[in-house]
Amino acid sequence: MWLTEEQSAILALIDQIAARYPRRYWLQKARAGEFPEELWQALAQAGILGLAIPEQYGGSGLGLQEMALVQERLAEHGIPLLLLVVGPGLSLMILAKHASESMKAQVLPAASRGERVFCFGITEAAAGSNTWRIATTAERQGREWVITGTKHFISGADRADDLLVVARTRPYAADSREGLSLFVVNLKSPGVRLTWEPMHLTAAEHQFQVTLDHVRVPDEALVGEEGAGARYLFDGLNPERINVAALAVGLGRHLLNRAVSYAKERVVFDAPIGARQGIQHPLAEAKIHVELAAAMNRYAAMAYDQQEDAGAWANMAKVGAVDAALEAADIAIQVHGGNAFSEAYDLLSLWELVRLFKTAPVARELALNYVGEHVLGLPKAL
Amino acid sequence: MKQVPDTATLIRLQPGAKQIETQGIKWVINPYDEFALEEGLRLKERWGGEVVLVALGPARVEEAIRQGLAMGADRAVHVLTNDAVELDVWLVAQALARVCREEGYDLILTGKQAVDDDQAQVGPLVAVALGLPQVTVVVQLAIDAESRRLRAERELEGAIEVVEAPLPAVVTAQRGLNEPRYPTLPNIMKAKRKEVRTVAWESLGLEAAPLVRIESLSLPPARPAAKILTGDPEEAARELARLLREEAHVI
Ligand SMILES: Cc1cc2nc3c(=O)[nH]c(=O)nc-3n(C[C@H](O)[C@H](O)[C@H](O)COP(=O)(O)OP(=O)(O)OC[C@H]3O[C@@H](n4cnc5c(N)ncnc54)[C@H](O)[C@@H]3O)c2cc1C
Repeated sequence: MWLTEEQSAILALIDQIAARYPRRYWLQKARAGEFPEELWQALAQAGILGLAIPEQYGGSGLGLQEMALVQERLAEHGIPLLLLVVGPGLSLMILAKHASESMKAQVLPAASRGERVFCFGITEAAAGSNTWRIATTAERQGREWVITGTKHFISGADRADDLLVVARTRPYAADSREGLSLFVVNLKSPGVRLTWEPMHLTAAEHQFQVTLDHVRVPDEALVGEEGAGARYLFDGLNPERINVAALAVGLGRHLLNRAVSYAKERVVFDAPIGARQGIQHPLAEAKIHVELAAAMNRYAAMAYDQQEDAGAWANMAKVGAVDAALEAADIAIQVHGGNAFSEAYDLLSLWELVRLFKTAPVARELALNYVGEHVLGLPKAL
Repeated sequence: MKQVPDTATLIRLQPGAKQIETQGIKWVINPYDEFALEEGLRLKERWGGEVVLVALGPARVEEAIRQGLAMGADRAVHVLTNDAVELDVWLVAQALARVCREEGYDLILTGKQAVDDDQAQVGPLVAVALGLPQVTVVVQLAIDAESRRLRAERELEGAIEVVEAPLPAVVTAQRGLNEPRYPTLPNIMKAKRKEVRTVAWESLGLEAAPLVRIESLSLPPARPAAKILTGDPEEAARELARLLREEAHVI
């Protein structure tokens, strides 16, 4: 196999954790609206949260390839975690690369141990796909920054300790890619308010509107240079896409495993439905598409780990993996007949999550725009 | 520590059937050995010292050894066997005892049995080979380092027996002794650099004369298909009662 010894050991570790905290556990928590804390703590204690954090800051110094394997395998067991994406898979990736030395020393060791959990805030009600239009501002006052604005749909903000937030430090100008800045905001700071946004989604995390009302942060909370945030963002958003693609691959496999065992057992018109070509072929096709996406996503993660521009692979893998997982979800639902719609079978809950990934964290159309413009060299799409 | 097929693995037999088909099997650490290893790690955390993992088997066992090292064992000895050697528990116990003697020990921990061939003899026979006291099926263990004695609770049918023994001794672990930890990522990384000493089976100079030989191996007879009763609940219940009485003879 192409897995390194460490990667196999990591997968075996995830299997062990999943055996103790299986889908049943996760689902019970998700339905009760509770965070699967024991699962999260198990991942923290096993060192998974610090997987990609450099060793000098208490992590294991591994890369996105290993992180994607973890996400894939958790999802394959049906226990995906969005906080693992927006924290270790996004925010911490940016901080490890671009935060000030003092911020890194302060935050990363605690984050590796799971003692500081990060969520990520870029979206606003009037600025989702179009990040340039965000209205949250940060203003310098002496040795502090004062941040004001409202972020929207922030996953896991109730469980997180800190928010990595994108704000404007200069007014919008149509011709400029400068002016966005990233800040670390402690969610306990005065002026931070969370408002729960109920979603039609079975997930371990809740979404929140996070209002920042003149929240003061010190100078070292600014990540990298003022105004250069857009550049840093892509060191987090590409990993996020790769992480989400990995979740989609894992969920696709989970759905196909479920569909296959049902198709083997369920006898209709005197034969197991899995023996019928009309069922077998769509299952085979979905499997092919899921594994193609898995291979491409591995490629994307490898590109990122080797400091290459991962944008092309990450966007292509994200679209490919989510399309494949949706295909898998649809045939899994079809195979289960009416049972697919019964709560006991817990299938539509998986579809919800896979379907989310077609819209968030980046809409399919935006990823296609990227491929059109940057991979194919077409004019910027309208 | 023994590597065994995961109990969820579907077992197939080799043609000729003196061994199982090892292709495609998912291998794991014998669960009872995990309890033993965990106990060793806890004792080390409490008293200091060193946990040396000893395993016997073909090259694939290395994977289980790395897992054990990733749980926190300090180093390992792998008695490397090949498929040509016919082993029985006494040969295995003698080989392990020899390694233990070379390494030195205060306490030898094993699982109470391996979940693949269920002999429950290796721990006790290692004790015999080394002339040590043995305490089997232990659910609680306390060590007094000063008096160099152990106190153990053994699980009996419907009772708990408390025993004492001097160290060194052999203790075999029962479920309930502890909850084994996961390996951690930092330990997985470190495990790569930990020492695994390989000892070729042949170099031990044990006479390959097993006392017990496997004559044949066969799968249990297939279970008859389940009966599913459908239709009117009252009639189904009546039919169920009839079947339980007349076919299953249980009521
Ligand atoms: C469950 C959930 C969790 C989330 N978690 C977070 C989080 O933790 N942090 C965070 O910051 N955000 C989060 N989000 C927000 C998410 O990233 C956005 O919803 C997403 O980026 C889309 O933005 P939008 O909702 O404003 O859609 P819009 O930008 O309004 O787009 C609507 C639709 O228009 C189409 N569209 C838009 N632009 C184009 C174009 N140029 N060409 C063609 N079609 C286009 C797309 O189909 C798109 O789906 C979350 C959202 C959800 C639902």
